[in-house]
Amino acid sequence: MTPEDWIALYEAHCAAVYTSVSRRVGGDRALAEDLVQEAWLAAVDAWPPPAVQPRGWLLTCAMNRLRNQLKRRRPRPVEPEVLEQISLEPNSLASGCDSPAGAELLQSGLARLTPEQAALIEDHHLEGLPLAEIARNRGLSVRAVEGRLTRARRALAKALRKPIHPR
Amino acid sequence: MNERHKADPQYLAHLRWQVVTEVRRRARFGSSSPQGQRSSGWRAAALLAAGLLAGTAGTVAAGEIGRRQDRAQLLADLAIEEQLAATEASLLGDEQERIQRLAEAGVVTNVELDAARHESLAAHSRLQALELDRSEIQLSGEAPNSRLSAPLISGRDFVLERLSNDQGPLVNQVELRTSALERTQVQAQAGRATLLEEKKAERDLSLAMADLVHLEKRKELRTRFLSGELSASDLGLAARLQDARTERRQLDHRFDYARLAHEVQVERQAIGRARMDRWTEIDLARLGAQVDLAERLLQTLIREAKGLPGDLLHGSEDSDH
Repeated sequence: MTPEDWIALYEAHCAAVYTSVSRRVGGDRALAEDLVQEAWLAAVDAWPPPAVQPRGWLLTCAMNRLRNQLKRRRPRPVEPEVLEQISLEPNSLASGCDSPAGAELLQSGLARLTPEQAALIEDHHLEGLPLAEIARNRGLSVRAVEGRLTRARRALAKALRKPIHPR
Repeated sequence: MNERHKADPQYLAHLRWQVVTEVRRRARFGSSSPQGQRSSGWRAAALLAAGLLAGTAGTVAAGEIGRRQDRAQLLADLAIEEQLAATEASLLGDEQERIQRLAEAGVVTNVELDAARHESLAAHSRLQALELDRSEIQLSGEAPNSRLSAPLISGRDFVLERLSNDQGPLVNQVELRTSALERTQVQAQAGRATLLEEKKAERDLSLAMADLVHLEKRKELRTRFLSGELSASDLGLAARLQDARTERRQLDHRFDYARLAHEVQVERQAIGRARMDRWTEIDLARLGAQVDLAERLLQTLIREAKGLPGDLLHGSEDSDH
């Protein structure tokens, strides 16, 4: 790719990738800026084949970096009020990312799930993709996606040591 | 969209520059495979042998071709930087207009408007500097030369033009910091700003003025060199002396402020209004060591530069106060 191609790619996706990352880290500007920067530099290092969606690739790269950091970090005591902010109810799970502290806790929980489970929760609850679209992207039935999402939320509840009410 | 999740335009512009610079760097240095290196080594050896056989005429012709290729490469590289700088200037211009509207509606203060104007001015100055680089490459076929001893190119003094271009943002910076100091002094009189805040505003203004004076001195050195008053070696020495003198003055301003900050911290700790914190003490010790080092360097340079004209040797110590 030529520098002009990179500028075009950057113009098309960078602002949107930043917004998605910022939402996931509760608006922590310094952290979002670092993650987006690392994702772009990683992209320059190893740009994937054209079939891959650039925005999805960059976002996944940024979030993987965040989760790797969180995995490496020594466990810290969880503030009860922060844990309280995180709802595992399907319709309000995204609100956990309203503050940087809530977002960090939620992301540290996602870091302990399998990449597939974390990606499902990301796509549906944080990114707002409809179940039908997720099913189409993964070549699954809607019912199968629902089942996997339920298990992913249970795994998240276990990772956060938070009770979950069955749907 | 929630403003909280919107990227800062300056951050986006900077990251764009970083991505493109990294792409270019890798294109130049990072993509050669071991096989590629071997083949380029072989090609270089073949070219060298051909050059030796072809003699002087061939070498001159090859030099000319090389120069044209260098010029084309330099201009191509510059075009990308210009494109980025133009985008940055445009974004900051838009941001300035937005803040201007908010200021007119009374939503933001003139302080924010002044800061936005300064950013926009600085971005335009960077763009202008790249345009100067372009003109110089086109005329000389070589990379821009900003040394004070650089020759004129086709009668144009690009060194002085660059220095003059840098002057605008520095003058603006001094104006901004003068206003900031005046505001802080008014607030301090009304009991709404501390002595430390006032001293910080004073220090910031002194640092900005030192930068401006430094630039004016460099312009003066350049002019005296071109008029034949200074030889190239004297110019080099005078420039180093000037750098050391500016560094020393700026460290003095930083040290004075750090000393006051430390005294305030100690007082606040003594009456239980501040937590035990050794940062101000560490900062003061670090700056003290830097001041000593800068002073020693300055004295060494003064000893080396005995033959310089008196005004350059001794400087005008109060020019930035």
